Amino acid sequence: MSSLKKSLVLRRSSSELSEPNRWSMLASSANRYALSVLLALGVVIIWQAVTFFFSIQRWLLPSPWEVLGALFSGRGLLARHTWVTAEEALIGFAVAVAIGFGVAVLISNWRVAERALYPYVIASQAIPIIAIAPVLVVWFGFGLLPKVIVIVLITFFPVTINTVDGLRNVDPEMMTLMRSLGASRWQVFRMVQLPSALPLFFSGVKIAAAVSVIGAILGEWVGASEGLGYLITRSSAQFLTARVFAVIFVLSAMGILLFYAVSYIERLATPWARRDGVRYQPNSSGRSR
Amino acid sequence: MVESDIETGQAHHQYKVLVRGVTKSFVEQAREVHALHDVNLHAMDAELVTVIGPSGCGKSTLFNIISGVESPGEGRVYINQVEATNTVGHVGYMPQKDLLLPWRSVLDNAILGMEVAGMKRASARERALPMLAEFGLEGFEHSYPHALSGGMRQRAAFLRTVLFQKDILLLDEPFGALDALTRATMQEWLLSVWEKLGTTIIFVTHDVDEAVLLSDRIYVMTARPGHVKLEIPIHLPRPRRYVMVTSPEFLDYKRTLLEALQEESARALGMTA
Repeated sequence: MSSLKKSLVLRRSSSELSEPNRWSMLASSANRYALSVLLALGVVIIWQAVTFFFSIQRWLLPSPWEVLGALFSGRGLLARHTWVTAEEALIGFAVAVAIGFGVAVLISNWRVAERALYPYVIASQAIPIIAIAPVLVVWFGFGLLPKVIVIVLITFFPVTINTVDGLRNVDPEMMTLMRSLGASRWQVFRMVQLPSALPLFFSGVKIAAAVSVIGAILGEWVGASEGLGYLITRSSAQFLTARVFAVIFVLSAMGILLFYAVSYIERLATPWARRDGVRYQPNSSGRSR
Repeated sequence: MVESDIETGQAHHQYKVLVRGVTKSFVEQAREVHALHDVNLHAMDAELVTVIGPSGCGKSTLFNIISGVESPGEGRVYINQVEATNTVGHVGYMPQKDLLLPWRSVLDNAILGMEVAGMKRASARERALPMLAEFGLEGFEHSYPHALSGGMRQRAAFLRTVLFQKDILLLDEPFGALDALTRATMQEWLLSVWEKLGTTIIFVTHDVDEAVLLSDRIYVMTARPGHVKLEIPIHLPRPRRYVMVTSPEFLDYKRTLLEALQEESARALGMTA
């Protein structure tokens, strides 16, 4: 314990994240990603070698170099369709998080809501989306709405389930303490339940973020006139396999970006989870009064 | 004010806490557990009273009833001469675990009670800051609880209890999880804080040394169902110091208590002769 205390004191007395400190943090994170970058590089080299030495036809398997070419030459086209898909994914994701959170609050706080809603929350995951998507197109056309519905159907589930667990995961003795202080139900929710649910809520949101891109593609698959899913369908029909790969590359980049954006927000929202013991402070002046 | 069902008649207006005929049973795993049976006890103004008993004698249940979060099957609780059975918010209750909220800094944990009572965060912090030094938490106001030692966490939890600003504190084995050395320091420290605050403290423990060292009076509870078996006033001089645990008077008290407790422990284990 004393060593922890000492390191704490050291950290506070020395500057808070000075320049060299920041660089060393960057360096260590570069180290962290070095392995995955190396792995990707290895795969690309083997891929390039295979397509070259076995002279595989490019409509069957294009070389990485050709995929890069397709990325570059089709950048205008890709950007246009990326924008469409990104919009669908982001709107669907936001709606799913809002609904998922709301349903979780209802379920965890009211027995009646739990009995009424829970079976349908589970049932929503039993619906084969691929079967319901064409119906949505018939009802709502080729626009944004059916895609958003598909995304919400797929992604609200992990948010709800995780948040319900989080909201219920409060030490019963903590509840007793709050009651002894005379806290209202709303105070207990705001001061205890909500913050203690945040870590689990965010792990649900991260799953939702990664899956929302898949949801958008699924929605576009059955009926769309634009978007990356539509572009894949059209390009593979024309045997433009290099472009299909280019689209896949863009899609995974989008998913990864969204995932890390959520992780970043999580870090800001749950500063206590960072185990350095010092509170996150926007300005260092108010530190000790 | 005169309550017809208070048998003690004289001088009951001085009672800060009065527990009368409290009996409590609850159902646990489809079996009825008789936790408390006709418990009677009291605490005077600025008195430090300890409740000691074998584990599972219903000490924590008793505290839940006094603090109003649990209702007694029978009996009543009076606080400041007013019936307060099933009424929360009259006493500062410090449970066995420190229960500090991990997402709140030490300072913000300390002001929890004031915040629940409706005070603005800024003014609550202002009120709490000057007290951190006395509780050995200066310089740690913005630290999260996980960065603190066991003793510091316990002091932070105690500060939270004190800052709820009630003149009656219920402390449920607050030092149970600490090592012997830290514990001795914390006991002396608690006494010094108590003398300054002038509050009434009801203290639960199963440590005999701790009970004798701290208390004005000790209630010995029986094994389940919990019942007051013995009431012992402790006439050791104050201020008390930890070294007193070796004095002959102290050892006399200790012997009396140990004998009473051992009988109960044996009974709890079903080893009665």
